Amino acid sequence: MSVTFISIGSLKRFFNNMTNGKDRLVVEDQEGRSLKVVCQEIGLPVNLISLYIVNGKAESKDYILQHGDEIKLIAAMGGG
Amino acid sequence: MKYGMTGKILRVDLSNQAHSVEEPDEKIYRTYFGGSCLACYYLLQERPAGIDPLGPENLLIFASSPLVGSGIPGANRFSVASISPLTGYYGEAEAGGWWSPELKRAGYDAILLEGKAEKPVYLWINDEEVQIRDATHIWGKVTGDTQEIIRNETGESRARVASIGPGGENMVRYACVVNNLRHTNGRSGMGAVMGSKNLKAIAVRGKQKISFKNNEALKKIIKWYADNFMDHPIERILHDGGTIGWDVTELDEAGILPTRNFRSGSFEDADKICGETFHNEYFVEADSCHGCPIRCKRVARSTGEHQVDPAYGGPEYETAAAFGSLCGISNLEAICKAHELCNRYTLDTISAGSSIAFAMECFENNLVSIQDTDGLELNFGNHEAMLRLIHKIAKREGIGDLLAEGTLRAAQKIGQGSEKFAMQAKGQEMAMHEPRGKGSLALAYALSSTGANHTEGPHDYLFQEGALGVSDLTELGLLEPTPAVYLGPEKARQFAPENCLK
Repeated sequence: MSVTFISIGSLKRFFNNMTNGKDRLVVEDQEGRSLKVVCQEIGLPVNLISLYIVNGKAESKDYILQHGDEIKLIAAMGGG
Repeated sequence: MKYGMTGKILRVDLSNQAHSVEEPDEKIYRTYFGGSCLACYYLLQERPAGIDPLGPENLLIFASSPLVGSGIPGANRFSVASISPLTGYYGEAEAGGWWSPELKRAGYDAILLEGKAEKPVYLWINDEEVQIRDATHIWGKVTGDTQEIIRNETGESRARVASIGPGGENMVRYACVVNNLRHTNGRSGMGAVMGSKNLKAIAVRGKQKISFKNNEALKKIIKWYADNFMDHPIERILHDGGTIGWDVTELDEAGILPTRNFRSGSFEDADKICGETFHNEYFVEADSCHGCPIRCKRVARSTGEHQVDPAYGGPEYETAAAFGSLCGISNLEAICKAHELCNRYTLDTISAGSSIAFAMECFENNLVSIQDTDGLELNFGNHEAMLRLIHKIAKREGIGDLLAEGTLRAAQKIGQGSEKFAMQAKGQEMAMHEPRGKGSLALAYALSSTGANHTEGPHDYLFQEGALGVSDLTELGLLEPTPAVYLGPEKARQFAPENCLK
Protein backbone atom coordinates (compact mmCIF):
# COMPACT_ATOMS: atom_id res chain seq x y z
CA MET A 1 0.00 0.00 0.00
CA SER A 2 2.30 2.77 -1.20
CA VAL A 3 2.26 5.98 -3.17
CA THR A 4 5.18 7.68 -4.88
CA PHE A 5 6.04 11.36 -4.88
CA ILE A 6 8.15 12.47 -7.83
CA SER A 7 10.11 15.54 -6.81
CA ILE A 8 10.55 18.16 -9.50
CA GLY A 9 11.40 21.81 -9.86
CA SER A 10 11.73 24.16 -6.96
CA LEU A 11 10.04 21.79 -4.51
CA LYS A 12 12.85 19.27 -4.91
CA ARG A 13 14.85 20.87 -2.15
CA PHE A 14 12.06 20.16 0.33
CA PHE A 15 12.33 16.48 -0.51
CA ASN A 16 16.10 16.21 -0.39
CA ASN A 17 16.39 15.01 3.18
CA MET A 18 13.89 12.27 2.50
CA THR A 19 15.03 10.82 -0.80
CA ASN A 20 18.83 10.43 -0.46
CA GLY A 21 19.27 12.46 -3.63
CA LYS A 22 16.86 10.44 -5.72
CA ASP A 23 13.87 12.06 -7.37
CA ARG A 24 11.29 9.68 -5.92
CA LEU A 25 9.90 9.28 -2.45
CA VAL A 26 7.85 6.19 -1.72
CA VAL A 27 5.49 6.60 1.18
CA GLU A 28 3.80 3.60 2.71
CA ASP A 29 0.36 3.13 4.22
CA GLN A 30 -1.22 6.33 2.91
CA GLU A 31 -4.12 4.82 1.01
CA GLY A 32 -7.36 6.50 1.98
CA ARG A 33 -5.74 9.69 3.23
CA SER A 34 -5.90 13.09 1.51
CA LEU A 35 -3.02 14.51 -0.49
CA LYS A 36 -2.89 17.69 1.57
CA VAL A 37 -2.64 15.87 4.89
CA VAL A 38 0.09 13.56 3.68
CA CYS A 39 2.07 16.46 2.22
CA GLN A 40 1.83 18.30 5.49
CA GLU A 41 2.96 15.29 7.45
CA ILE A 42 6.03 14.71 5.34
CA GLY A 43 7.00 18.35 5.85
CA LEU A 44 6.26 19.97 2.52
CA PRO A 45 5.26 23.68 2.30
CA VAL A 46 1.63 23.03 1.43
CA ASN A 47 0.85 26.74 1.10
CA LEU A 48 3.30 26.90 -1.80
CA ILE A 49 1.90 23.92 -3.73
CA SER A 50 -0.28 25.19 -6.54
CA LEU A 51 -0.95 21.97 -8.44
CA TYR A 52 -1.26 18.35 -7.45
CA ILE A 53 -0.80 16.08 -10.46
CA VAL A 54 -1.77 12.48 -9.77
CA ASN A 55 -1.04 9.91 -12.44
CA GLY A 56 -0.74 12.72 -14.99
CA LYS A 57 -4.02 14.41 -14.07
CA ALA A 58 -4.59 17.53 -11.99
CA GLU A 59 -6.43 16.76 -8.75
CA SER A 60 -7.50 18.85 -5.79
CA LYS A 61 -5.57 18.86 -2.56
CA ASP A 62 -8.39 16.82 -1.02
CA TYR A 63 -7.84 13.91 -3.41
CA ILE A 64 -7.89 10.61 -1.55
CA LEU A 65 -4.78 8.61 -2.26
CA GLN A 66 -4.91 5.13 -3.71
CA HIS A 67 -2.30 2.43 -3.86
CA GLY A 68 0.16 2.98 -6.67
CA ASP A 69 -0.57 6.66 -7.19
CA GLU A 70 2.32 8.72 -8.58
CA ILE A 71 2.19 12.34 -7.54
CA LYS A 72 3.96 15.39 -8.87
CA LEU A 73 3.69 18.63 -6.88
CA ILE A 74 4.05 21.98 -8.60
CA ALA A 75 5.03 25.07 -6.66
CA ALA A 76 3.22 28.34 -7.14
CA MET A 77 5.08 30.46 -9.65
CA GLY A 78 5.85 34.11 -9.23
CA GLY A 79 7.77 36.67 -11.13
CA GLY A 80 11.33 36.65 -12.30
CA MET B 1 13.42 66.53 6.17
CA LYS B 2 15.26 64.38 8.62
CA TYR B 3 14.68 60.69 8.28
CA GLY B 4 14.86 58.29 5.38
CA MET B 5 14.96 60.95 2.69
CA THR B 6 17.61 63.56 1.99
CA GLY B 7 15.00 66.19 1.14
CA LYS B 8 16.82 67.11 -2.07
CA ILE B 9 15.93 66.49 -5.67
CA LEU B 10 18.43 67.21 -8.40
CA ARG B 11 17.05 68.80 -11.56
CA VAL B 12 19.29 68.65 -14.62
CA ASP B 13 18.69 70.72 -17.75
CA LEU B 14 20.66 68.83 -20.37
CA SER B 15 19.92 71.38 -23.11
CA ASN B 16 21.63 74.16 -21.17
CA GLN B 17 24.09 71.97 -19.27
CA ALA B 18 22.75 73.33 -16.00
CA HIS B 19 21.52 71.82 -12.78
CA SER B 20 19.75 72.93 -9.64
CA VAL B 21 18.64 71.45 -6.36
CA GLU B 22 15.04 71.53 -5.19
CA GLU B 23 13.81 70.88 -1.69
CA PRO B 24 10.16 69.90 -1.97
CA ASP B 25 7.80 70.47 0.88
CA GLU B 26 7.59 67.57 3.32
CA LYS B 27 3.95 67.19 2.27
CA ILE B 28 5.10 66.01 -1.17
CA TYR B 29 7.24 63.29 0.36
CA ARG B 30 4.53 62.18 2.77
CA THR B 31 1.98 62.04 -0.04
CA TYR B 32 4.10 60.41 -2.77
CA PHE B 33 7.00 58.87 -0.75
CA GLY B 34 9.39 58.13 -3.57
CA GLY B 35 10.00 55.73 -6.43
CA SER B 36 7.32 55.50 -9.08
CA CYS B 37 4.76 57.50 -7.07
CA LEU B 38 7.05 60.49 -6.82
CA ALA B 39 8.07 60.12 -10.46
CA CYS B 40 4.45 59.95 -11.60
CA TYR B 41 3.65 63.08 -9.58
CA TYR B 42 6.32 65.09 -11.39
CA LEU B 43 5.34 63.76 -14.81
CA LEU B 44 1.67 64.58 -14.28
CA GLN B 45 2.47 68.01 -12.87
CA GLU B 46 5.00 69.07 -15.44
CA ARG B 47 4.27 67.39 -18.75
CA PRO B 48 1.14 67.51 -20.93
CA ALA B 49 -0.27 64.44 -22.61
CA GLY B 50 0.84 63.61 -26.12
CA ILE B 51 4.47 64.71 -26.02
CA ASP B 52 7.06 62.82 -28.05
CA PRO B 53 8.66 60.25 -25.72
CA LEU B 54 11.91 60.54 -27.66
CA GLY B 55 11.84 64.32 -27.88
CA PRO B 56 13.59 66.80 -25.59
CA GLU B 57 10.32 67.75 -23.92
CA ASN B 58 10.07 64.39 -22.21
CA LEU B 59 11.05 64.23 -18.55
CA LEU B 60 13.16 61.29 -17.36
CA ILE B 61 13.21 60.56 -13.65
CA PHE B 62 15.39 58.37 -11.47
CA ALA B 63 13.76 58.05 -8.04
CA SER B 64 14.81 56.34 -4.84
CA SER B 65 12.52 55.93 -1.81
CA PRO B 66 12.48 56.27 2.01
CA LEU B 67 13.80 52.87 3.12
CA VAL B 68 16.62 52.69 0.60
CA GLY B 69 19.98 52.60 2.30
CA SER B 70 18.52 51.35 5.59
CA GLY B 71 19.96 47.87 5.10
CA ILE B 72 16.52 46.31 5.10
CA PRO B 73 16.55 43.47 2.52
CA GLY B 74 14.90 44.51 -0.70
CA ALA B 75 15.04 48.20 0.20
CA ASN B 76 17.67 48.98 -2.40
CA ARG B 77 15.56 49.72 -5.43
CA PHE B 78 14.82 52.71 -7.61
CA SER B 79 12.39 53.53 -10.38
CA VAL B 80 13.23 55.04 -13.72
CA ALA B 81 10.11 56.64 -15.15
CA SER B 82 9.13 58.71 -18.16
CA ILE B 83 6.68 58.74 -21.06
CA SER B 84 7.37 55.39 -22.68
CA PRO B 85 8.45 55.20 -26.33
CA LEU B 86 6.71 51.83 -26.53
CA THR B 87 3.28 52.89 -25.34
CA GLY B 88 3.20 56.70 -25.42
CA TYR B 89 1.88 56.59 -21.86
CA TYR B 90 3.49 56.58 -18.43
CA GLY B 91 6.27 54.03 -18.31
CA GLU B 92 8.52 52.84 -15.54
CA ALA B 93 11.00 50.18 -14.62
CA GLU B 94 12.52 49.23 -11.29
CA ALA B 95 15.92 47.85 -10.52
CA GLY B 96 17.77 46.73 -7.43
CA GLY B 97 21.51 46.52 -7.07
CA TRP B 98 23.69 49.20 -5.51
CA TRP B 99 22.97 52.42 -7.38
CA SER B 100 20.01 53.67 -5.39
CA PRO B 101 21.61 53.59 -1.91
CA GLU B 102 24.63 55.33 -3.42
CA LEU B 103 22.43 58.14 -4.78
CA LYS B 104 20.99 58.75 -1.35
CA ARG B 105 24.41 58.70 0.28
CA ALA B 106 25.41 61.28 -2.33
CA GLY B 107 22.63 63.46 -0.99
CA TYR B 108 19.72 63.10 -3.43
CA ASP B 109 16.36 61.34 -3.42
CA ALA B 110 15.70 61.67 -7.13
CA ILE B 111 17.02 63.14 -10.37
CA LEU B 112 14.82 64.95 -12.90
CA LEU B 113 16.37 65.07 -16.40
CA GLU B 114 15.07 67.54 -18.95
CA GLY B 115 15.93 68.60 -22.47
CA LYS B 116 18.61 67.07 -24.62
CA ALA B 117 22.36 67.56 -24.51
CA GLU B 118 23.89 68.84 -27.72
CA LYS B 119 26.54 66.10 -27.58
CA PRO B 120 26.73 62.89 -25.52
CA VAL B 121 27.31 63.51 -21.84
CA TYR B 122 27.36 61.64 -18.58
CA LEU B 123 26.37 62.86 -15.16
CA TRP B 124 28.87 62.52 -12.33
CA ILE B 125 27.48 62.96 -8.82
CA ASN B 126 30.04 62.86 -6.05
CA ASP B 127 28.69 63.67 -2.59
CA GLU B 128 26.31 66.39 -3.78
CA GLU B 129 28.80 67.84 -6.24
CA VAL B 130 27.38 67.50 -9.76
CA GLN B 131 29.23 67.60 -13.06
CA ILE B 132 27.93 67.17 -16.58
CA ARG B 133 30.85 65.61 -18.40
CA ASP B 134 31.62 64.94 -22.03
CA ALA B 135 30.81 61.37 -23.14
CA THR B 136 31.52 61.54 -26.86
CA HIS B 137 34.49 59.20 -26.36
CA ILE B 138 32.24 56.66 -24.59
CA TRP B 139 29.29 56.84 -26.98
CA GLY B 140 29.05 53.51 -28.77
CA LYS B 141 30.61 51.54 -25.93
CA VAL B 142 28.89 48.65 -24.20
CA THR B 143 28.07 48.95 -20.51
CA GLY B 144 31.18 47.14 -19.27
CA ASP B 145 33.56 49.46 -21.09
CA THR B 146 31.46 52.46 -20.12
CA GLN B 147 31.65 51.64 -16.43
CA GLU B 148 35.39 51.06 -16.55
CA ILE B 149 36.11 54.30 -18.40
CA ILE B 150 33.96 56.38 -16.07
CA ARG B 151 35.48 54.83 -12.94
CA ASN B 152 38.97 55.54 -14.29
CA GLU B 153 38.14 59.11 -15.26
CA THR B 154 36.53 59.96 -11.96
CA GLY B 155 39.15 58.12 -9.96
CA GLU B 156 36.37 56.35 -8.07
CA SER B 157 36.63 52.60 -8.44
CA ARG B 158 33.48 52.21 -6.34
CA ALA B 159 31.32 54.60 -8.30
CA ARG B 160 27.98 53.04 -9.16
CA VAL B 161 27.24 53.52 -12.83
CA ALA B 162 23.80 53.34 -14.46
CA SER B 163 24.27 53.48 -18.21
CA ILE B 164 23.01 52.69 -21.65
CA GLY B 165 24.77 50.78 -24.40
CA PRO B 166 24.23 50.95 -28.16
CA GLY B 167 20.63 49.79 -27.74
CA GLY B 168 19.74 52.89 -25.76
CA GLU B 169 21.89 55.16 -27.91
CA ASN B 170 20.07 53.92 -31.03
CA MET B 171 16.76 54.42 -29.25
CA VAL B 172 15.60 50.83 -29.59
CA ARG B 173 12.10 51.35 -28.21
CA TYR B 174 12.60 48.73 -25.50
CA ALA B 175 16.14 49.70 -24.54
CA CYS B 176 16.77 49.51 -20.81
CA VAL B 177 19.09 51.04 -18.23
CA VAL B 178 21.71 48.81 -16.62
CA ASN B 179 23.56 49.50 -13.37
CA ASN B 180 26.66 47.63 -12.25
CA LEU B 181 26.35 45.50 -15.40
CA ARG B 182 23.83 43.14 -13.80
CA HIS B 183 20.88 45.12 -12.49
CA THR B 184 18.33 46.33 -14.97
CA ASN B 185 15.52 48.86 -15.21
CA GLY B 186 14.17 46.61 -17.91
CA ARG B 187 10.77 47.55 -19.19
CA SER B 188 9.06 50.49 -20.86
CA GLY B 189 12.03 51.63 -22.96
CA MET B 190 13.61 53.95 -20.39
CA GLY B 191 17.03 53.38 -21.98
CA ALA B 192 15.70 54.76 -25.25
CA VAL B 193 14.56 57.94 -23.49
CA MET B 194 18.01 58.26 -21.95
CA GLY B 195 19.55 57.83 -25.40
CA SER B 196 17.21 60.43 -26.89
CA LYS B 197 18.68 62.93 -24.42
CA ASN B 198 22.28 62.07 -25.36
CA LEU B 199 22.73 60.95 -21.77
CA LYS B 200 25.16 58.02 -21.65
CA ALA B 201 25.34 57.36 -17.92
CA ILE B 202 24.74 58.57 -14.39
CA ALA B 203 27.63 57.73 -12.10
CA VAL B 204 27.24 58.19 -8.37
CA ARG B 205 29.48 58.07 -5.34
CA GLY B 206 28.28 59.02 -1.89
CA LYS B 207 29.82 58.81 1.56
CA GLN B 208 27.22 60.62 3.61
CA LYS B 209 25.22 58.89 6.26
CA ILE B 210 21.48 58.50 5.77
CA SER B 211 19.50 59.20 8.92
CA PHE B 212 16.69 56.96 10.06
CA LYS B 213 14.31 57.53 12.94
CA ASN B 214 14.98 54.40 14.94
CA ASN B 215 18.28 52.69 14.16
CA GLU B 216 17.88 50.12 16.93
CA ALA B 217 14.56 48.95 15.52
CA LEU B 218 16.11 48.76 12.05
CA LYS B 219 18.95 46.63 13.34
CA LYS B 220 16.52 44.25 15.02
CA ILE B 221 14.47 43.86 11.84
CA ILE B 222 17.56 43.28 9.73
CA LYS B 223 18.92 40.70 12.15
CA TRP B 224 15.57 38.95 12.48
CA TYR B 225 15.27 38.72 8.71
CA ALA B 226 18.82 37.40 8.26
CA ASP B 227 18.16 34.74 10.92
CA ASN B 228 14.77 33.64 9.61
CA PHE B 229 14.40 34.26 5.89
CA MET B 230 15.26 30.70 4.94
CA ASP B 231 12.15 29.54 6.80
CA HIS B 232 10.05 31.21 4.12
CA PRO B 233 9.71 28.71 1.23
CA ILE B 234 9.91 31.34 -1.53
CA GLU B 235 12.97 33.04 -0.05
CA ARG B 236 14.59 29.65 0.27
CA ILE B 237 13.84 28.79 -3.36
CA LEU B 238 15.21 32.14 -4.56
CA HIS B 239 18.30 31.83 -2.38
CA ASP B 240 19.08 28.37 -3.65
CA GLY B 241 18.11 28.72 -7.28
CA GLY B 242 17.22 32.24 -8.32
CA THR B 243 14.14 32.96 -10.39
CA ILE B 244 15.38 30.59 -13.11
CA GLY B 245 15.21 27.89 -10.47
CA TRP B 246 11.67 28.80 -9.50
CA ASP B 247 9.53 29.05 -12.61
CA VAL B 248 10.59 27.16 -15.76
CA THR B 249 9.64 23.65 -14.64
CA GLU B 250 6.58 24.82 -12.76
CA LEU B 251 5.09 26.83 -15.59
CA ASP B 252 5.79 24.04 -18.04
CA GLU B 253 4.08 21.41 -15.88
CA ALA B 254 1.13 23.75 -15.42
CA GLY B 255 0.89 24.18 -19.19
CA ILE B 256 1.52 27.93 -19.11
CA LEU B 257 5.16 28.27 -20.16
CA PRO B 258 5.05 30.66 -23.14
CA THR B 259 6.27 28.56 -26.06
CA ARG B 260 6.86 29.48 -29.69
CA ASN B 261 5.40 32.94 -29.41
CA PHE B 262 2.55 31.83 -27.15
CA ARG B 263 1.40 29.14 -29.61
CA SER B 264 1.42 26.71 -26.73
CA GLY B 265 2.08 26.49 -23.00
CA SER B 266 4.42 23.54 -22.82
CA PHE B 267 7.92 23.19 -24.19
CA GLU B 268 9.26 19.73 -24.95
CA ASP B 269 12.78 20.81 -23.95
CA ALA B 270 11.88 22.68 -20.77
CA ASP B 271 14.28 20.46 -18.85
CA LYS B 272 17.16 21.78 -20.97
CA ILE B 273 16.56 25.40 -19.97
CA CYS B 274 15.42 24.99 -16.38
CA GLY B 275 17.17 26.03 -13.21
CA GLU B 276 18.58 22.61 -12.41
CA THR B 277 20.30 22.39 -15.79
CA PHE B 278 21.59 25.93 -15.43
CA HIS B 279 23.09 25.16 -12.05
CA ASN B 280 24.71 21.97 -13.29
CA GLU B 281 26.27 23.51 -16.38
CA TYR B 282 26.78 27.30 -16.23
CA PHE B 283 26.30 28.53 -12.67
CA VAL B 284 29.30 30.27 -11.11
CA GLU B 285 27.97 31.92 -7.98
CA ALA B 286 25.06 33.83 -6.49
CA ASP B 287 25.03 37.61 -6.35
CA SER B 288 23.11 40.12 -4.34
CA CYS B 289 21.72 43.59 -4.06
CA HIS B 290 22.60 46.02 -1.26
CA GLY B 291 21.62 44.68 2.13
CA CYS B 292 19.91 41.52 0.97
CA PRO B 293 20.89 38.06 2.26
CA ILE B 294 18.71 36.17 -0.23
CA ARG B 295 21.30 36.54 -3.01
CA CYS B 296 18.84 35.54 -5.71
CA LYS B 297 20.96 36.81 -8.61
CA ARG B 298 22.73 34.14 -10.67
CA VAL B 299 26.12 34.49 -12.37
CA ALA B 300 26.85 32.42 -15.46
CA ARG B 301 30.02 31.46 -17.26
CA SER B 302 30.75 29.38 -20.33
CA THR B 303 33.95 28.78 -22.25
CA GLY B 304 32.17 26.79 -24.92
CA GLU B 305 30.94 27.80 -28.35
CA HIS B 306 29.20 30.92 -26.99
CA GLN B 307 31.58 32.32 -24.43
CA VAL B 308 29.61 33.83 -21.62
CA ASP B 309 31.21 36.57 -19.53
CA PRO B 310 30.29 36.33 -15.82
CA ALA B 311 30.78 40.08 -15.37
CA TYR B 312 27.23 40.48 -16.70
CA GLY B 313 25.61 38.09 -14.27
CA GLY B 314 23.23 35.45 -15.53
CA PRO B 315 19.70 34.89 -16.77
CA GLU B 316 16.59 35.38 -14.70
CA TYR B 317 13.53 33.28 -15.44
CA GLU B 318 12.10 35.88 -17.85
CA THR B 319 15.25 35.79 -19.94
CA ALA B 320 15.45 31.99 -19.95
CA ALA B 321 11.89 31.78 -21.23
CA ALA B 322 12.01 34.77 -23.60
CA PHE B 323 15.06 33.49 -25.48
CA GLY B 324 14.27 29.86 -24.67
CA SER B 325 10.80 28.39 -24.91
CA LEU B 326 9.29 31.50 -26.50
CA CYS B 327 11.72 31.15 -29.41
CA GLY B 328 11.64 27.33 -29.35
CA ILE B 329 15.31 27.32 -28.31
CA SER B 330 16.77 24.65 -26.05
CA ASN B 331 20.43 25.71 -26.16
CA LEU B 332 20.95 27.10 -22.67
CA GLU B 333 24.44 28.37 -23.44
CA ALA B 334 23.01 30.52 -26.24
CA ILE B 335 20.35 31.78 -23.84
CA CYS B 336 23.03 32.78 -21.32
CA LYS B 337 24.87 34.54 -24.14
CA ALA B 338 21.68 36.35 -25.12
CA HIS B 339 21.37 37.58 -21.54
CA GLU B 340 24.95 38.88 -21.63
CA LEU B 341 24.43 40.66 -24.95
CA CYS B 342 21.28 42.37 -23.71
CA ASN B 343 23.09 43.65 -20.63
CA ARG B 344 25.99 44.89 -22.77
CA TYR B 345 23.76 46.58 -25.32
CA THR B 346 20.98 47.50 -22.83
CA LEU B 347 17.98 45.75 -24.32
CA ASP B 348 15.01 44.55 -22.31
CA THR B 349 15.27 40.76 -22.57
CA ILE B 350 11.49 40.26 -22.47
CA SER B 351 10.71 42.60 -25.36
CA ALA B 352 13.81 41.55 -27.30
CA GLY B 353 12.95 37.86 -26.99
CA SER B 354 9.35 38.57 -27.84
CA SER B 355 10.30 40.62 -30.90
CA ILE B 356 12.51 37.79 -32.12
CA ALA B 357 9.78 35.21 -31.50
CA PHE B 358 7.37 37.45 -33.42
CA ALA B 359 9.83 37.55 -36.32
CA MET B 360 10.16 33.76 -36.20
CA GLU B 361 6.41 33.28 -36.40
CA CYS B 362 6.20 35.75 -39.29
CA PHE B 363 8.99 33.89 -41.09
CA GLU B 364 7.38 30.47 -40.58
CA ASN B 365 4.13 31.89 -41.94
CA ASN B 366 5.87 33.39 -44.98
CA LEU B 367 5.07 36.95 -43.98
CA VAL B 368 8.73 37.89 -44.17
CA SER B 369 11.16 36.37 -46.65
CA ILE B 370 14.77 35.28 -46.36
CA GLN B 371 15.66 38.51 -48.18
CA ASP B 372 13.78 40.50 -45.55
CA THR B 373 15.70 38.73 -42.78
CA ASP B 374 19.13 39.46 -44.29
CA GLY B 375 19.58 35.77 -45.04
CA LEU B 376 18.74 34.56 -41.53
CA GLU B 377 16.53 31.49 -41.35
CA LEU B 378 14.23 32.60 -38.59
CA ASN B 379 12.70 29.26 -37.73
CA PHE B 380 11.77 28.61 -34.15
CA GLY B 381 14.70 26.90 -32.48
CA ASN B 382 17.46 28.61 -34.46
CA HIS B 383 19.61 29.92 -31.63
CA GLU B 384 22.34 31.22 -33.95
CA ALA B 385 19.81 33.42 -35.74
CA MET B 386 18.47 34.58 -32.37
CA LEU B 387 21.93 35.76 -31.29
CA ARG B 388 22.58 37.45 -34.63
CA LEU B 389 19.31 39.30 -34.33
CA ILE B 390 20.20 40.72 -30.92
CA HIS B 391 23.27 42.38 -32.47
CA LYS B 392 21.16 43.67 -35.38
CA ILE B 393 18.44 45.04 -33.11
CA ALA B 394 20.89 46.91 -30.88
CA LYS B 395 22.58 48.44 -33.92
CA ARG B 396 19.33 48.88 -35.88
CA GLU B 397 20.81 47.02 -38.85
CA GLY B 398 18.66 45.40 -41.53
CA ILE B 399 15.64 43.66 -40.07
CA GLY B 400 16.97 44.69 -36.66
CA ASP B 401 15.82 48.22 -37.41
CA LEU B 402 12.25 46.97 -37.84
CA LEU B 403 12.31 44.74 -34.77
CA ALA B 404 13.83 47.56 -32.69
CA GLU B 405 10.44 49.27 -33.00
CA GLY B 406 8.72 46.54 -30.97
CA THR B 407 6.16 44.02 -32.12
CA LEU B 408 3.21 46.41 -32.43
CA ARG B 409 4.95 48.77 -34.83
CA ALA B 410 6.76 45.96 -36.65
CA ALA B 411 3.42 44.25 -37.24
CA GLN B 412 1.87 47.48 -38.47
CA LYS B 413 4.64 47.74 -41.03
CA ILE B 414 4.60 44.09 -42.11
CA GLY B 415 0.81 43.93 -42.22
CA GLN B 416 -0.60 40.78 -43.88
CA GLY B 417 -2.26 39.75 -40.64
CA SER B 418 0.98 39.73 -38.66
CA GLU B 419 -0.75 41.80 -36.00
CA LYS B 420 -2.08 38.60 -34.47
CA PHE B 421 1.50 37.49 -33.82
CA ALA B 422 2.38 40.63 -31.85
CA MET B 423 1.97 39.54 -28.22
CA GLN B 424 1.61 42.96 -26.62
CA ALA B 425 -0.75 45.31 -24.85
CA LYS B 426 -0.56 49.05 -25.50
CA GLY B 427 2.71 48.40 -27.36
CA GLN B 428 4.64 46.64 -24.60
CA GLU B 429 5.30 42.94 -25.04
CA MET B 430 3.84 40.40 -22.62
CA ALA B 431 6.11 38.90 -20.01
CA MET B 432 6.77 35.18 -19.77
CA HIS B 433 3.60 34.38 -17.87
CA GLU B 434 0.67 33.09 -19.88
CA PRO B 435 -2.35 35.28 -19.18
CA ARG B 436 -4.65 32.44 -20.20
CA GLY B 437 -3.40 30.57 -17.14
CA LYS B 438 -3.41 33.47 -14.68
CA GLY B 439 -6.60 35.51 -14.60
CA SER B 440 -5.39 38.38 -12.41
CA LEU B 441 -2.25 38.72 -14.46
CA ALA B 442 -4.37 38.87 -17.60
CA LEU B 443 -6.22 41.80 -16.04
CA ALA B 444 -2.89 43.42 -15.16
CA TYR B 445 -1.64 43.09 -18.72
CA ALA B 446 -4.83 44.66 -20.02
CA LEU B 447 -5.28 47.39 -17.43
CA SER B 448 -1.81 48.64 -16.56
CA SER B 449 -0.94 52.01 -17.99
CA THR B 450 2.52 50.60 -18.71
CA GLY B 451 1.18 47.90 -21.02
CA ALA B 452 1.69 44.16 -20.57
CA ASN B 453 3.83 44.16 -17.47
CA HIS B 454 4.04 41.24 -15.05
CA THR B 455 5.38 43.45 -12.28
CA GLU B 456 2.16 45.46 -12.37
CA GLY B 457 -0.03 42.62 -11.21
CA PRO B 458 -0.36 39.64 -8.91
CA HIS B 459 0.47 36.05 -9.81
CA ASP B 460 -2.65 34.02 -9.28
CA TYR B 461 -1.11 30.79 -8.03
CA LEU B 462 0.02 32.61 -4.92
CA PHE B 463 -3.55 33.69 -4.17
CA GLN B 464 -5.58 30.52 -4.68
CA GLU B 465 -7.33 28.92 -1.74
CA GLY B 466 -4.78 27.74 0.78
CA ALA B 467 -1.90 29.50 -0.95
CA LEU B 468 0.80 31.56 0.65
CA GLY B 469 -0.55 34.97 -0.27
CA VAL B 470 -4.14 34.50 0.85
CA SER B 471 -3.74 35.21 4.55
CA ASP B 472 -2.10 38.54 3.72
CA LEU B 473 -5.15 39.58 1.74
CA THR B 474 -7.97 38.49 3.97
CA GLU B 475 -7.86 41.76 5.87
CA LEU B 476 -7.92 43.64 2.58
CA GLY B 477 -11.09 41.91 1.47
CA LEU B 478 -9.96 38.74 -0.26
CA LEU B 479 -12.48 36.47 1.43
CA GLU B 480 -13.14 33.95 -1.33
CA PRO B 481 -10.03 33.29 -3.42
CA THR B 482 -10.58 32.06 -6.95
CA PRO B 483 -8.66 29.47 -8.97
CA ALA B 484 -5.71 30.76 -10.98
CA VAL B 485 -7.20 30.11 -14.40
CA TYR B 486 -10.60 31.62 -13.56
CA LEU B 487 -11.47 35.00 -15.08
CA GLY B 488 -14.85 36.24 -14.01
CA PRO B 489 -16.48 38.86 -11.77
CA GLU B 490 -15.03 37.38 -8.59
CA LYS B 491 -11.55 37.56 -10.07
CA ALA B 492 -12.06 41.22 -10.93
CA ARG B 493 -13.08 41.86 -7.31
CA GLN B 494 -10.02 39.93 -6.14
CA PHE B 495 -7.70 41.96 -8.34
CA ALA B 496 -7.89 45.12 -6.25
CA PRO B 497 -6.68 43.71 -2.89
CA GLU B 498 -4.14 41.47 -4.66
CA ASN B 499 -2.71 44.49 -6.41
CA CYS B 500 -2.07 46.20 -3.09
CA LEU B 501 0.62 43.63 -2.41
CA LYS B 502 2.29 43.64 -5.83
